[in-house]
Amino acid sequence: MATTTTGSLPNAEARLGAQDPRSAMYYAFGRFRRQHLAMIGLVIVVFLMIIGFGASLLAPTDYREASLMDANKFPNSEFPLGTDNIGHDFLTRIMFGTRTSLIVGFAAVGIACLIGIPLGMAAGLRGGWTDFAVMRLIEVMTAFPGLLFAIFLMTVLGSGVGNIILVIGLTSWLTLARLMRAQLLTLREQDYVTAARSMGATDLNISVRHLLPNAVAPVIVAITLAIPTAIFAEAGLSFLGIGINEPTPSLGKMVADSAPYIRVYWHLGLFPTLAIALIMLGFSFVGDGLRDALDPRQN
Amino acid sequence: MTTRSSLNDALNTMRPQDAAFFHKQLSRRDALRTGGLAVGGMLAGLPAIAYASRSVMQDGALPDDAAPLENQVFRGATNPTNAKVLDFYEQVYERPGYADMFSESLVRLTKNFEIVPGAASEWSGSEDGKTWTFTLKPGHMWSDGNEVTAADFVRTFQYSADPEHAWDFTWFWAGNLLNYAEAIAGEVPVEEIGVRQGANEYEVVFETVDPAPYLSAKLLYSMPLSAAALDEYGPLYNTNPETHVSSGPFKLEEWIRDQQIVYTRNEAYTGDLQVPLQKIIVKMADPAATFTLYEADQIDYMQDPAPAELKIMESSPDTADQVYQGVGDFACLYFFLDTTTAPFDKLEVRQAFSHVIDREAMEQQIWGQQSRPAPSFLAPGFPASNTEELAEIQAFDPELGKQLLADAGYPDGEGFPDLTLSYRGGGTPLEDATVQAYAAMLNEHLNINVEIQTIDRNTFYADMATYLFGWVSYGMDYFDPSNMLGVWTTVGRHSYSNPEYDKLVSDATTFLGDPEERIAMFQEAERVLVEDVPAVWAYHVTPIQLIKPYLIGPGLEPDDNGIAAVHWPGFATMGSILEELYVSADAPTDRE
Repeated sequence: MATTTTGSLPNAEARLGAQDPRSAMYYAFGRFRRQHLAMIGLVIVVFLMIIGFGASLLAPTDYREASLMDANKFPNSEFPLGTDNIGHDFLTRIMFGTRTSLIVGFAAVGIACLIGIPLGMAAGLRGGWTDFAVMRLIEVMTAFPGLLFAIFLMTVLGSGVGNIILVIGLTSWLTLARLMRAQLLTLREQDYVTAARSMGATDLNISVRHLLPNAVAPVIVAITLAIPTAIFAEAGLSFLGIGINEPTPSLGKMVADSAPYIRVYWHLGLFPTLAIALIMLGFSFVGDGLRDALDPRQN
Repeated sequence: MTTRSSLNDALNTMRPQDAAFFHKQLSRRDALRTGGLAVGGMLAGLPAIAYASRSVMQDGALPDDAAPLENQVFRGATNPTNAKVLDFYEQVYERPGYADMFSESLVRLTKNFEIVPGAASEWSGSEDGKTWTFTLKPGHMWSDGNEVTAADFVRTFQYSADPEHAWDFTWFWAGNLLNYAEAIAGEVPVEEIGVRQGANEYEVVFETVDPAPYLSAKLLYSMPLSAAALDEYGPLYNTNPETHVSSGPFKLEEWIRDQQIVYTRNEAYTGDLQVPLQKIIVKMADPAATFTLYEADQIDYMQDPAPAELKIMESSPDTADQVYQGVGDFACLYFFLDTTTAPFDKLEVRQAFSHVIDREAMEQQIWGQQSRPAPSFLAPGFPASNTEELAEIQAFDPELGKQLLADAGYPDGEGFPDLTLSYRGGGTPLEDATVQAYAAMLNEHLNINVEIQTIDRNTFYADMATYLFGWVSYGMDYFDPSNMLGVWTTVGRHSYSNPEYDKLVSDATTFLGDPEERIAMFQEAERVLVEDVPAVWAYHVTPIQLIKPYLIGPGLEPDDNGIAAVHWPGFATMGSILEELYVSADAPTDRE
């Protein structure tokens, strides 16, 4: 028995004492990879990013180029997705429209992060008047219907890529701020935060080194899900005619422009709608997959 | 002057579709005739032209092939967005389609664009052309039992000039009627504007700032409100059937907001319009849904179908003959350039822009039947139109355009700034496509990048004079060249200013002599305008109408110039269509 006991102890110590070289992210990726929809979403997103950001190299023509005499062509060997009502190659327009959507999606969410995360951190970490002020601001902003507020801002600022990014960013930081605040309200009571503070760490130091890394998982999920929302908002505003300026292609505007023609030229509405749906699905699948993969309870 | 033979020569060298169009549209000679007629009847001392009604009614009886009275129902649709009032002198831009049914203007416009007596039986002007007296037909009654008198017209015009009313169309009379601009500004009482009662209650006298031989044409917009109703019920009395008063052939039966307006015959009507229709039902519908209503036989008439909708109608033999092409209000749609600001302060740049618009391709691929190329401002058929002779000035010639741009200091577009084209929101599909196509052409031929910025419509009009490069339209408000060409004078809607042009327009506008000489003066002004390129003209609207086959009558037969359609101003007492349209016995019953 003694031999057995003595012999087994080093193995147990080895098992208990050794550091697992694989990080939490490794396991999260493993869980992500096992979700079929998430992987499909990832493939879609990568595909869209390739055709979107590579549009200048991959598209058959420049997005401004139009041959009026080739207008309203149905899909054929020369124009795989047909042409629009002024002779733009529709494949080109969809590729560049995807680029526009991705740029707006990423940039608008970037602005939302720049506003929402610091405000949420400040509210969650400092509490008191800071928390009160941030929460009241969020409540005031929540009182405005998002789309109507965006329409109002677009009307004031004027249409264009820059303005639409700004407007969507300004109207979509609330979720991130609330989420970050809620995370920090929980985390700031943890012993390691108390320890860091007792050792003289500043709020900024605590935030960056201790809190942010621990709060980042749900925020990543929120960001991933915010991207398709921003893309859809752009499509919606462009559909209403106050989004992206021609000749920059926008999938939402392409859908809107197809309305008077769609009963005859079905391809004008179908392809941009499919592209929007694909973008939404791709990012939503990835977001859902990340949420499940990064959920600590999955450990 | 263009002779008939030279016109035919021109037609022979045109593409078939153009030739057909010009055969269908008014020729220049016709324009001179009709325009001359309109103006000729207005000259000082001349009596108004005689006019015989073309109503289908004979002694009050319907034609033999007409449906019975109870089925003389017309159904149309209108956009509910602007349906707030029903009278021109309440607000112009807040009326739905099918408004102005409750009184009659002093003059009326026939389908051949003749100015004929309306509420007035005759009119005459003073020697200096500044005082105009209109004589009302006696015995024309309001539905409340009062007679239509000069007091109603005087009160209506005073009401329009009242700053508290804030009428949205004051520009129309400002600077034209004596003291009108001053009244709007609050500088003089409204009682001092140049509209007053004459020798008796049947005479309305108009005094103008300058000689105004065109005044009777302009008084197409003179549908009076009831002075008594205004005093008793205040403004908007015609928005409620309870307080509504009419001297027109119809009265307000029902107005359910955002649903429908129903007009029925005014039994107390004593005017001389003989109208077969007994009821007009106006359904409120988003323009995008109007064709669905038409297809479902819920309405009998619609205007401006979308391109695909038009294609659907034309592709079936059962529906192709329901498509009518009119001339509308002779609107011209154009790209305007701020001639006071670089780079458009250089004539060569403006000329370059004018030579790279391929109207032929646009007509073929975008406009179809719905519009026709506009090489100049005044549409064929409008008085003083000179389309054929001005066509070459802004003709499509991209090589010339490139050369002119290089001459201006921008070889192959190098150094030329990126442009923003200001585009008013709510444009038609044709406008959207035209603007996008022109931007692509500027890029292709001149290597100039153009971004199209859509601007809220109200903001657009408020700021239009500040835009460097934009897109807008203008259609006539009255059938005289002074109206259309006045837009481009220094005090007009754009930044363009050319003293030579101003003088030509001003001299022609106030000219009291031979109408043909006056027309020639306007033509010279238009030549200066087109050569100076303050705008690149794109197209003239020839609006498409869809009309159910059971709506018949002389109103839909070809006019003297071969155009068969409901003519501007459409379904209102200031036009003639109400007398010239009825429902045939073939119509389905119970169409409400």
